[in-house]
Amino acid sequence: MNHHPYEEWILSDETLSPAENASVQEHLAACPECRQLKTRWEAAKLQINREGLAAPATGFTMRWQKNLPDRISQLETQSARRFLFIILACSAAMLAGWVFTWLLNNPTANIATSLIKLTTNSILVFQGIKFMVFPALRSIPLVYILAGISIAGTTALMLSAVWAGAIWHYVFRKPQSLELVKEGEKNK
Amino acid sequence: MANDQPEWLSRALKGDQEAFSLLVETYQRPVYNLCYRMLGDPAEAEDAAQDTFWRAYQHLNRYDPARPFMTWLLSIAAHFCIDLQRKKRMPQFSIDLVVEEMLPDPAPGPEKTTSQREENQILHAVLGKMKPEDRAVIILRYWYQMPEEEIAQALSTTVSSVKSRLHRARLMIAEQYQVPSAMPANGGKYYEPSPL
Repeated sequence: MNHHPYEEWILSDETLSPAENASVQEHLAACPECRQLKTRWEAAKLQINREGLAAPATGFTMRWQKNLPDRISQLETQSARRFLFIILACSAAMLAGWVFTWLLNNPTANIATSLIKLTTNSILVFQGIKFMVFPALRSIPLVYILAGISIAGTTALMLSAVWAGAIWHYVFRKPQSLELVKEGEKNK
Repeated sequence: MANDQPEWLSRALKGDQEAFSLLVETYQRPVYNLCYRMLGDPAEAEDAAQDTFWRAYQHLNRYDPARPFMTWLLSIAAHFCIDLQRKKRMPQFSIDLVVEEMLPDPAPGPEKTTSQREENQILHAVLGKMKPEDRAVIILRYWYQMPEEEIAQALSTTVSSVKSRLHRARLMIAEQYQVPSAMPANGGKYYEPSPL
């Protein structure tokens, strides 16, 4: 038996016209398959209405509030790592580009010559500095020189430590803003 | 309570976590229900509902106030559950797997009969056999009474696609929904045609 368009009409949510309705009733009286389809569909709809909306376990919002600081922390850490990765990737790309350009402009045979020239020039520059700086240094007392070297060295060490600490804190530890949020929650 | 929603939204947009928590409190049930009907497991539904609110929290600035907030949330939840099932290639849950303890009861009490539980399990088993997209369409239509246009908007698809999915899903339910013998759908009477 041809169930078209009765199947669509039986399952449709739209109100049928009187003519369509009469036609469906006539078909249903003669077709056990469509009768079964209609019975099952109506039973299923009844069951859906009976079930209503399922509710989560008690304390859903509390669990949300409890997990929020960790989620924010994870997001910020991910962003920081992504930022660091982008910086490193860009630096590596620029370095690679510079090396590539240098190699293009310097055929392989000339690379050794270029390296020798670079070394020679560096030695010459060092010699020049030596002739200018060393005579001047001789006139300064040794105590001042040692003090200067100590100050410069300590400053460089401190700056390096601050830089490394900032990177470590930003990438691997929770930001201060988040600590403040947590403290605020504890105080509540 | 719903009258305060625009104020909560504007406060949440400014980064007020407490205001967003009020929105979570208000919409937890519809969001959880969608996740539960989509995934069929209360624990997974809880995680999915929490993740839905987290996604909403992250992208709150993209919310269009012209649309109902619940539709926006349900749209996020539906997309999330569909993606989850695609990634997992979730095995279809069968009636044997849907044990009584897994089914949260919207109105728990001794009045819930064995027959109703049985019907609940059967309906879940049929839903579990559907494609996630078809399941989402049928849930939004019959649990939330959403019109086809709104479903299409929520699932980022066309109205004609929603119509064809709805028909396919309805047909599957009508063909596979086994009315428990203890409680026939027509009340145990001989078939009497009723007006549609």
